[in-house]
Amino acid sequence: MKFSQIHHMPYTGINEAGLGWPISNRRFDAKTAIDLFRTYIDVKVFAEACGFDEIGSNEHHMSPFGMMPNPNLIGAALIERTSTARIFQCGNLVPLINPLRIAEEYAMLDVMSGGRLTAGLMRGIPHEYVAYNIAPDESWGRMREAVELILRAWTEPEPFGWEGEYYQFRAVSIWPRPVQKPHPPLAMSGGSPSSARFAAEFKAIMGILRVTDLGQAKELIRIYTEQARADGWEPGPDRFMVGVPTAVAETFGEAKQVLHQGTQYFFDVLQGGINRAQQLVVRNTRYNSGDRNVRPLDRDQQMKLASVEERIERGQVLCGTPDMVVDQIRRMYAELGHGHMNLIIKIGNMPDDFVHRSMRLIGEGVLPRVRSLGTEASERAA
Amino acid sequence: MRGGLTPTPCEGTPDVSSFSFEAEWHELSPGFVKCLTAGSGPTLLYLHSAAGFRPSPPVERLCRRFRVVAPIVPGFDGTPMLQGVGSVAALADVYAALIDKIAGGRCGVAGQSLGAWIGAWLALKHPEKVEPLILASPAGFRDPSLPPLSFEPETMLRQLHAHPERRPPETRPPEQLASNREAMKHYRAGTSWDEDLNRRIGEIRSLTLIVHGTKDVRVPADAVRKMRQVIPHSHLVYVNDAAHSIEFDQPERVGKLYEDFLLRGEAFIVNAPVAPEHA
Repeated sequence: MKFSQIHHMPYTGINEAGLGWPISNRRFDAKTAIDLFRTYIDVKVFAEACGFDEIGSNEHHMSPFGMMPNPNLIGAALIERTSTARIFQCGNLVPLINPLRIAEEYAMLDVMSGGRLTAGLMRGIPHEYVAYNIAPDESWGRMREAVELILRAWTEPEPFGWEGEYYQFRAVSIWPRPVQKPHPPLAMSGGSPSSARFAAEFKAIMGILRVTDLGQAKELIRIYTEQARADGWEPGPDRFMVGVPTAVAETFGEAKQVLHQGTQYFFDVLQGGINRAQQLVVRNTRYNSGDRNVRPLDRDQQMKLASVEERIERGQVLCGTPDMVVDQIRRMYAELGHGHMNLIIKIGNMPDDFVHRSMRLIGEGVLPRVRSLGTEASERAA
Repeated sequence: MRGGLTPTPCEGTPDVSSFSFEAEWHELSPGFVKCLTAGSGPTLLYLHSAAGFRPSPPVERLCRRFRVVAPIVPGFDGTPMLQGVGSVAALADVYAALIDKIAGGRCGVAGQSLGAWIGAWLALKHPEKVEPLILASPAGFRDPSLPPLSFEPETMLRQLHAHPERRPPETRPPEQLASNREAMKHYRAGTSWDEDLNRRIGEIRSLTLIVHGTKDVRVPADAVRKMRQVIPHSHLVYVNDAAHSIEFDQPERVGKLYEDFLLRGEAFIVNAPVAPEHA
């Protein structure tokens, strides 16, 4: 089992963000942000010392939810301060950006890190489309075409042109090319049946980055596996990543309390305006057309109202002492057979000293005891 | 969710020149108000600027989807003044009564410059009658600490138009334009600062679009920023390379923006077809 540490780098200097979109940045305080960036990057670097295999950064726009509109900048900063951890970009929002820019920046990160990049190619959540004024109706079309183009930009041996529906380039030959051959491993979101099938088509690591319950995660893994088999290959555990908010402390009581408070802040403050934009997109476009039953807002509401114990039971979070969390991870693995876990260790406004302590406890008391999970199965599949 | 107005189906690119405005007179308690009307669909009250009513390309575009009713400010273009109506706020009351008469008590309102000034008072004093609201290049918000507005013709031309070549040819006789200027004084609108309105602007509850040209030096950008801050359900959009006469400087951009907002309401921020075929 491989472990990633991810941090959304939220802006936590506010107590309410309002419900409208966009979220006004009137109350943004530069001094607070400077301190937060220093703390957050230090925490990400600390993940390597704790034994995490990967350090994750992701892209979100125009919200205190995450101050990483370009995660590649953070990835570049991490490369300079780490030596072994993989730089797990999860990832660039492909339909929103010039795909060649993604190909180029990821190639830079791969070269700068000596081949440590995992290249996340994400479709993005609805509010990002409002932020960058891209038609949500074109989301899947742009995603597919852009991914094809990025792969070609990394692998074509000769300069080439591209005439597509959304992208046209007459002369492409990127410098640098990636170190890893044929290209860096891909990671894609698998939060819905459509995205699970899509990830399988590209043999990407599928990230189920917000688990509703273990049954839902299991079904998405089944869909991915079904698609892979239809395409003639067998995925091992290393293709499946499960993302979970995580709080580890010396006592269950402390971990539970901190997780609960951080979660409330996450939903009440960080997620507020995002929900509004999401509603506008989902109701006015075909963003979810491939997945009629996807109801992200209902899902969020359920998560917010559930107790920590219920959320542990559903596989939505890891919470407790190191011993408890080891058991929770083993149980999840027994159900899902996944080979990656993406631990979100800063939830909402969770205190940063707690985050630091939680990571140390994970490094000392959790990772050494669960690292072997799925290893044999991954080797067999390889 | 704050929606827009139900659209009239519109296919292809209609010939906007096919819309001709017809004059109607409506009797209200203080007297008769002349309106110019064109198009079909839900009623949209369009409030003209201090330049008087000139059908700009954006307004003509709206006629494809709406029944555009443009009242002529009493005293403008040869129309009579109304007894007891001597301020912009009082004009708003007249137009509230007009909405009752022409739109069953509620409709969309779009105003430019002086029209936005009236529209702001209309939405503030009669919130139940206005939804949604467009305030384009809103007059009435120029802080008195700023240098006073110039009405010298050359300066005005330069300040009103980033693209003077796009302004319509002036066909109205000089005496009519002079009488329009007198009417402005009658409503005490020449100073372009309305203290009461500025104090109360945050009371507007309509879904509101504020539109400001990046080259508009007659309405300070700080004023529209403040409006965006205090009007709860508001959006601010800058139109690039446009001065105060925004509808003539950038007709395509402004027309599409008006149409999108009026038809789709709050969802105008989502890049999607104007009349979605799906919910």
